[in-house]
Amino acid sequence: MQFHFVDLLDQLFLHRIHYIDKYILPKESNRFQNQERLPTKQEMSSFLNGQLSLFPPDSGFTNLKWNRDKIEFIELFISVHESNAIIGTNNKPVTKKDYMALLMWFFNIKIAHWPGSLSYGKERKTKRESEYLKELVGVYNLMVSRRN
Amino acid sequence: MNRTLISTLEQLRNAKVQVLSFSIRKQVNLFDFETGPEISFNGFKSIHSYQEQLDKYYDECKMSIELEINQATPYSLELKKSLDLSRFEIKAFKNRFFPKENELLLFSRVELVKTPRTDISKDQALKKKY
Repeated sequence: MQFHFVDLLDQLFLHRIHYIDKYILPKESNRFQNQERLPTKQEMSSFLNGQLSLFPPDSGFTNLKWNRDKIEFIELFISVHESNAIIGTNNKPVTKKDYMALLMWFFNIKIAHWPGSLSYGKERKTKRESEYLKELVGVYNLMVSRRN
Repeated sequence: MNRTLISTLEQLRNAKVQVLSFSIRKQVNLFDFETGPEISFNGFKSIHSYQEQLDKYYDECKMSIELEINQATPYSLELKKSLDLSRFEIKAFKNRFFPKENELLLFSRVELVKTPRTDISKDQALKKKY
């Protein structure tokens, strides 16, 4: 009976040691890693080059601003969405509403009713093509020709 | 936790079998009774009561560990060290007092005590009184 009891005590301590390994130490090690994380080489080099941190820790906004017309913003990103260039990480399609809301936040631009603006653009009788997208093609071609 | 564990191991170290001076009538099975001397193990007169005492020690150790785990979350590495050391103590105790292949050593820890029978007819105090 005594021998059995010593065995039980041994098992109790062994179980608690495993418990700490499994549930407590990993949590703490993650917390420690998060607190003490050193900047990566790339982050250090960006810092030394004086680049802006795009996601300042003390603000809910990015440090980016859309610098063209609102309609051009809609034309560009709706085209990207329509081309299925961007999908969710779970391989499911992303809704236009969420996608546009995220980009508006990302580029600090507020467009009250972007589907309306898009419909207005599409229903124009003249100049239905996007001037901005044409311009982008030109800019790209120019860039390529400069390199060559 | 260490104090609880040490006192528990200290209790397990004892294996005192005491044969008391008086006889009792014990039920062996449903129909038979046997008269024999009362025997106690570490002061407990039945297996059941000793088992209850061991359960109590076990619960105390368990509570003590739980308390330390709950209190010492930020220092769990220290707690783990302490638990490791305690487990070593338990293993060392087991090897020392409950060796697997040494029955002689296993029984050498049993202490047999026989309480001498006192003859009450020769007791002077009783004689004076009655």
